[in-house]
Amino acid sequence: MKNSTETADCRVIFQPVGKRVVVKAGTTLLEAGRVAGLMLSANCGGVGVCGRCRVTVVSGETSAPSENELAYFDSTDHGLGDRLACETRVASSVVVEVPQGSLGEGQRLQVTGSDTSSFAGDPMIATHQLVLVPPGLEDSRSDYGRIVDALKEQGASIDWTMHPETGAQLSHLARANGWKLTAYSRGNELIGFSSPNRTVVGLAVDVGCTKIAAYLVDLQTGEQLAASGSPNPQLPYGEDLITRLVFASKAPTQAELMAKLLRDTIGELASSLASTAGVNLHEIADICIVGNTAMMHLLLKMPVGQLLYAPFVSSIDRDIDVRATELSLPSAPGAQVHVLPAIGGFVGADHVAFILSHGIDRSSKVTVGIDIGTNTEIVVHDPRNGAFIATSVPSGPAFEGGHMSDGMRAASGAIEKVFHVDGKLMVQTIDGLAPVGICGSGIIDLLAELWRLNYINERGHLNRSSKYVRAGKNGLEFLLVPAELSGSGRDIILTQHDITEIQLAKAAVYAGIATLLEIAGTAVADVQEMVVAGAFGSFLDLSSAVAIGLLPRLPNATYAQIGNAAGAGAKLALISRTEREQARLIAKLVTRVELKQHESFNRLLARATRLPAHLVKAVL
Amino acid sequence: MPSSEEIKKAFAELNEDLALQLVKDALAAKMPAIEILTACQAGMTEVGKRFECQEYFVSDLMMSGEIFKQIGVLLEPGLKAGGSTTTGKVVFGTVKGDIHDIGKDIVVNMLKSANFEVIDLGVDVPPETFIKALKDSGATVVGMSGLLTLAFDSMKATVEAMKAAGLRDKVKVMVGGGPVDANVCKFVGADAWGADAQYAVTLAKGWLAAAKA
Repeated sequence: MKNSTETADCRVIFQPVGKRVVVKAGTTLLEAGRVAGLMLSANCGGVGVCGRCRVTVVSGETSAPSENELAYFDSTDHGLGDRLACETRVASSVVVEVPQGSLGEGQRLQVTGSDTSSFAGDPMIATHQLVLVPPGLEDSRSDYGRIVDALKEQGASIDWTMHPETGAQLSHLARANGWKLTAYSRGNELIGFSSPNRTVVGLAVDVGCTKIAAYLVDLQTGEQLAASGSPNPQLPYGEDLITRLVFASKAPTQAELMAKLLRDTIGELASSLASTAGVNLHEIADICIVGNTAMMHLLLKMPVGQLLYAPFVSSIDRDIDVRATELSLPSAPGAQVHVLPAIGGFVGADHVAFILSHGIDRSSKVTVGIDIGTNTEIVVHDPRNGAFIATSVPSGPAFEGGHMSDGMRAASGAIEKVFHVDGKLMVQTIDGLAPVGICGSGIIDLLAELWRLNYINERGHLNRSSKYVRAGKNGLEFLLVPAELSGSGRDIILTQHDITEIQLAKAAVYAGIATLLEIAGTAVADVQEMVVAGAFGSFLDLSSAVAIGLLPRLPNATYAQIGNAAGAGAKLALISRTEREQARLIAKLVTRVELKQHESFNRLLARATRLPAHLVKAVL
Repeated sequence: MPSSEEIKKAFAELNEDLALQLVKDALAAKMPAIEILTACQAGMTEVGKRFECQEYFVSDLMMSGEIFKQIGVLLEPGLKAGGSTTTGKVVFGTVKGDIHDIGKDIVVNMLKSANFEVIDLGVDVPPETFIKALKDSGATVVGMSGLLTLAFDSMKATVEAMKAAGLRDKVKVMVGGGPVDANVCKFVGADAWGADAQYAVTLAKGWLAAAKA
């Protein structure tokens, strides 16, 4: 008799790219990775000697460590789940974290945002170049006293305060630099020192659910010195926010872990940015962080239990200042982390930053702003009647390639564009590799093309008599790329179930926008600008989005795709006291709306699942 | 006057404009509200069948619920006047701490179209509201919906409250919602769980038939 565990199907999820695959028990993680189209490094050809395919098994059962692995790792690594993918055989469904270094090609992360164009020159941090008199027998002033006197000579006669850690840095650097220093102050506190004639920099961070973007900015000029992104290290603990919040709410040690993962990653990003920009970590004198409500709670270890239940109450939704050392972030010893205020509920600091960066609050145009993701935040500002309202709709992971048969995040080999030439569908992949899956922008394009070419009807039903539509394991499916042309050796398909998921997601976004406009008393024809932010929103083809009714057709509006607006807003609030104040004002001005309380949302939602020939007629 | 068959067909095809127009025409031509309702219910049954054989999908169920809701408003005065009888009473709600209502609304509309009188308690419903509704209505079937994993604790608490109120052996309890499965059903102490809206109707019908037998 066959041993049943040997043939059992095991699902393998590779994080952070989010690629999933089903393999037989006994398959190595390296093979599973290949089936999934993941470019795991294996210089030795997968015989357990080069160590390039190092991964972390986050959950699930696998074979015991092999001799090769025992030789390669010390015992603490094993305790953490570190393994060699080529030597590890799956025994159950597993979640595997693949470090960037073990991948041939990286995941595409968007870090560009609209530039900090209007530099007001009013940072929170002042910089001083000081030349001190060295101590002598007749001059036994304290190190602190020398600094205060030198500042007084420059006209800064203030009762300066200083943290002991800053004092320790002062004593060390003053002696190491021959009593010449660059000093940083915030208000009446001296917060750090560096060698003479150095600049001062700040760190802006946008903590997203799937990725973290960080920027290093010169605080004297407002110039961006370096930018970088990293996948959110919490991904192996749950793709969606709720799973991670539940995890953190179960035990203090788990909340601690969620916070540490974010803090460590931000710290690593800061280090790599500093080295790119040629500055020292202790020259980071200010840090500004934005993110969604869940991320800010996890980062700051605020309680999350109450966020899991209706009515989804935040712990603190105003702006928060904490010492950078409390978050273990590398910086000047007295540097603070400023977290932007949230609007309330799940409309978080990242949305405030978005509104700030595009100046939606100060614009004279009737504006709809939208940041599409697992949760989609929408804001409507009608300066004519003063309506300024925002909401968050759960739109699910479909737009990020989640829960789709062949969905994946925007990584190498992902189909990012689908178009037709003479009725024939063509695909374009990231980095031009053979396709291994479809990412969000490709999925929207594909649905739009299926609709244009009549492969689906207005209710999204696949036409079973069409070429390329076939009966699959779970109902009808559309064959996009046959196995022989794919990078995974498997067909790339879109199932009827996938289509339903996208319909529900796009309907939530559409109905959210339509309901907000209704509440604001703003007619569709009056909207002058539609601003689409976020990574997905930037790679999204707008005509496809309108074709499937993800975004409304606004006859008199210009559409703008502005990239990582939350990151751009964080940078503005970092370099300017005025902008930071404006962010506070935005949080007060914008009213959060709970769509569930509006009858029209559900009414619009059901109709908005359809494809737009109907929508144009019935809703707009 | 439109025929029952025409109304049923327009409903089953989810042709919203046509279905509503036909219902209005039928009312204007003095077709009895109960007959129109029966035609719509037949249409809804057809929608359920098509859903079961994967010709229709969740988005279609949402749409059918939406159409049914509007027709319900049109028919209400006529039905009240006619004093129509129902299959039975069901108390339904999304449990405390959860506000997901799309799935709940689909089930409520399916039940209504299957001629049940549904006491829809809405969302974020605390145990005491379920208890009061059960006592006031005398319903013997209760449905609890929830999508958040933490809603399971609320479901369990509601079942406990039914026990404390001495109602548990008088009512049948069904649970449903995205992550609900047999384990959840057992955990919360429900009698059955449903993976889709159509199954909720099957369950309710079965329980009431068994009670009558």
